[in-house]
Amino acid sequence: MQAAQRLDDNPCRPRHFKPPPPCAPVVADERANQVIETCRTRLVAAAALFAVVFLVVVLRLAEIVLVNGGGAESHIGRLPPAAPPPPARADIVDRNGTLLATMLPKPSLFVNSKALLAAGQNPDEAAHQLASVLADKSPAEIRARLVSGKSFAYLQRSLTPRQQYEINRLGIPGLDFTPEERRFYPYGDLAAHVVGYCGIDNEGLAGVERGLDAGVRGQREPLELSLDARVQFILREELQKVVKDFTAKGAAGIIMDVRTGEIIAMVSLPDFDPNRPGDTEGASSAADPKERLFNKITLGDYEMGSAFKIFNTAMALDAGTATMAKNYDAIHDIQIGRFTISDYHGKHRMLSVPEVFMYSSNLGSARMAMEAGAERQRAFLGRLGMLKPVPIEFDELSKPHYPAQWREVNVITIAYGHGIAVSPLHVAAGVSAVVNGGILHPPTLHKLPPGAHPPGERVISEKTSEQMRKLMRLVVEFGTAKLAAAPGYVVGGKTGTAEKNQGGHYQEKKLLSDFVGVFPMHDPRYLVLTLVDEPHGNKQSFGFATAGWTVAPATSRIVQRIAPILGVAPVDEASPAVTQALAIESLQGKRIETY
Amino acid sequence: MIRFASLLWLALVAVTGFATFKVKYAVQDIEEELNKVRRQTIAEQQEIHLLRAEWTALTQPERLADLNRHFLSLAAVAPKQLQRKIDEIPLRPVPEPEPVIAAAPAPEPATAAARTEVQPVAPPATSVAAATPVAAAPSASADIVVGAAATVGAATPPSGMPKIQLIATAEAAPLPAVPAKATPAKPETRLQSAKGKPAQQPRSLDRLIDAIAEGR
Repeated sequence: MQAAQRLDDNPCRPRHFKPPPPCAPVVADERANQVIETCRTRLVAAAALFAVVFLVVVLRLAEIVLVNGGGAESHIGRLPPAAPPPPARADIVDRNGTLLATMLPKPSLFVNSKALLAAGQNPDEAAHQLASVLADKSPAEIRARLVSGKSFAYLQRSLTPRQQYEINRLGIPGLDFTPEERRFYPYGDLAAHVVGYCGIDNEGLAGVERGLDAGVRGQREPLELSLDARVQFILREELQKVVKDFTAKGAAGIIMDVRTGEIIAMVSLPDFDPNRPGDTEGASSAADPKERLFNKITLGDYEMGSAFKIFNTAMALDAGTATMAKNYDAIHDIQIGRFTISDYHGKHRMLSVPEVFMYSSNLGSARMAMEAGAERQRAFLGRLGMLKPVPIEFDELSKPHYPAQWREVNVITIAYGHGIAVSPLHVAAGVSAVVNGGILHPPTLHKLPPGAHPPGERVISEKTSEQMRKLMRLVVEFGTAKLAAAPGYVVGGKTGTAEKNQGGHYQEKKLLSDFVGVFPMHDPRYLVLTLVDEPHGNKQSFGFATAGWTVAPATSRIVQRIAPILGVAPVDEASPAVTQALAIESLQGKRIETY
Repeated sequence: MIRFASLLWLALVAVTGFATFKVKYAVQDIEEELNKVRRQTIAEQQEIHLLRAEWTALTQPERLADLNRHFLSLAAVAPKQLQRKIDEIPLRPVPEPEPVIAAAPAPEPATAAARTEVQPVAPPATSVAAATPVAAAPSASADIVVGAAATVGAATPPSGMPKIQLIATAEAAPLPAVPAKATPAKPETRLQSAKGKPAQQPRSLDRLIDAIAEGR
């Protein structure tokens, strides 16, 4: 019984071993001993197992601490790289990585007056010190806030980093900063209309900031634009010069890669400082803020005048209704309804297509258009995208104005760029397509990788494009735009001078002069479109305010300055390679009468 | 026996416990340090960002153009200054003797120039020897020597050790001062004319560019 009792108490009792019934005969002692023995063996085995496990743990610890020195198993490698929190808006950079827009910390300074006074700071002294850093606040004003007794009072919003540093250095207790970020445009007004600007809550309000808001807001990677800040500067400087020289109301210009549609520069004058949009203080001219914010390139719609003859001639040549050798009557004025159409630079003789283009004959162009017909003209302009807003990464886009009913009088006026108003961007995209071999690329502000071939749509044949290149070169060589020539860069183009239409009447004294230039003409790379709003003739231009005297010389200067930057090497313009590429068969052997 | 084993285990527990805590604290320290470094890194990055913005603001093209106007007067690159291939660059022409020098009595420079031009035709070995006395005439000076060296280099076949010749002629260039006795008055007149000019022409760099442009 005693043995059974002991067995019962034994926690190591095997499951299969049942205590004998009380009345059963007492089990022999040997058996009990045997069970206890088994028990012990199992205990030892279990202990050994634990010992081994612990030993493993100990060895592992020893290995980590002593052998590897703690390095190999650290989680440092698994941590994300140290980086500041993503800015509210990503940087905007130009094609070379130059910052055009970035976020800067602009902390606000506030004072905890209780803490300041509790720290035993002399408010007069503190106010004096602070006034030396915060230039636009008087010591008395600051002192009033310091002793207000409030636990939170703003002293100054939007500190500069330097001011923050200076204030920290003063070591005045009770002052603190609230972290705030503001958009900063280091180049100021240089690319104001392209980059745009932001509101107080960092929401994009204009330009790319608005058009590509989703690509900027909350992103870390900078947004790369196709713009080149150096080219932008040159374009802007030359346009400013034009505005000043011809006391014009404004000017605008665009430089575009004709092969890809990338916009390299875009200027609209007068412009604004995106750091302070709407603020006219310290601005270069006294135009009102609304006019400054207006982007003439994308929002303006202008009757571009004779520059439209590029499209008219391309249309007629491409449709086959005109050939280079065909002659048109520039003797008789055209009477249609109450209008009389005549030539500005009248030659009063039959003119071949190159001559019509070169001397910018309205009569010849009108007759070319009439021959092709309204349907063709409308379809062609539609194909070039002239009848709908330009697809570009902007929200501020103008809708072209064109006649709802395409009557004969419209056909005639549209031939020389009146009666249809489009944005300069329309013209730039269209002319790019005309000269680049006939492919229309939608203009873009996104930087494309070098050598990229963006998708495009064929609008004219390659042969027509080649003919147009020759014609445009002719205009600069002998025609209305001789002053646009830039030695070595084979500039070609077309001038346009239109009287501005105000209230349904054309104003003889209010001109819009524009020039579309392309270089180098034998292998077009870049397009330079410039226009000047209401120029006035000066002494140097002999009183002329037409495109040939205002924007054409500016284009020459622009091309000479930007070509080295854009990697266009000058060539010998008289070399056979260039002259052969631009020779016009129908003019061979003829004496070209200089305009 | 049991007692000894218990003691052993107890000791082991104590040791591992101690080691664990030691490691834990060590890790904590390291982690703190890590966080500090990370904070510093972020601060530095923000600083770099600030400096980059400041740098951009300071290198505004408008500002650079202004600084250029004030301090450098660099002109825009003219198309004729741009050449794509090395053989499009013309050799520097032999300068005409300046009027002041022409007025000086010695007819040396003309003959000296003539001699250098003849030299390349002569066999290489003698041309090296001849180049040295030629360089002695001060007005002929470095230009002609360089021109001669170039023509010698081009004219000599590779077997004629052109390398050594070029070095020899180059060394000859600084020599003119030594046998200057031929026309001692010349260096002075030259200096005077050089001194007179800068007053009218403001920038040496502009003059250099003009000189290059005229040379073409």
